[in-house]
Amino acid sequence: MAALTFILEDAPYSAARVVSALRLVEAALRAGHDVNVFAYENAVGLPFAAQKPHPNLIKGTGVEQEGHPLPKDWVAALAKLGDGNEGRGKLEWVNCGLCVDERGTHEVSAGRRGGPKDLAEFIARSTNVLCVGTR
Amino acid sequence: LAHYLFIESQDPFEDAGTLAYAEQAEALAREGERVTLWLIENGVHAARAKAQLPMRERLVAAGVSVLADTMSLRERGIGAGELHASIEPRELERAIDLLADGGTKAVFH
Repeated sequence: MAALTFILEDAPYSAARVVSALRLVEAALRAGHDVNVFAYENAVGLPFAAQKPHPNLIKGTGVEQEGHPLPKDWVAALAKLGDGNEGRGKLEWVNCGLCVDERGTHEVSAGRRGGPKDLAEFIARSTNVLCVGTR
Repeated sequence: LAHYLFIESQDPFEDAGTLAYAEQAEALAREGERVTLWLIENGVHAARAKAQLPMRERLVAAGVSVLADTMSLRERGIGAGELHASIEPRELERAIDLLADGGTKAVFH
């Protein structure tokens, strides 16, 4: 099995690339590959725990009916999926600490605080690295 | 030989950078490298047979394998019967297979 590192930069709700990147992470874990994610810049907002669902005033649907997706829940689900059990890979998710401090997104649903040293180590031990960068 | 995986997420009718990106893929293929162009998100707009994109023929002539993400196709209502003959719809797992091959160099646009 391989070890893959994904570098993310986009904020939640900002681009389809966020969804694509998380889909790639999920597929890799299900295929049994270990996955490292380094969330840089606005991507540290992906697991930010204070995200809240909202109703849709146009449709008149409430929070429950709307089922508004929250990136923090997606990241938490990936962390649960990436437990290394039943043939799945392990996920290690690191949020750039400096980026977190700048944005005040300290409380997260999953992952840990880290820095460029973690990214360097991820790259050194990875079969491949894919940067899904901001445009 | 290396295997280059170009992941294209941008709409070819909206982003001129997609042409430059495809030209890089074409150039590498003409140098004899293995090249896969993976269309995802709005990049799959290039997969429609009726889309007027001359670069598509150049990529095929150069030997570039062009794949389109099936979920992105479904989201945009692009059915199998509408695909250009050179484009193969594939699940995302294929991209993971390529990434898991240490010989693959991947770029996301």
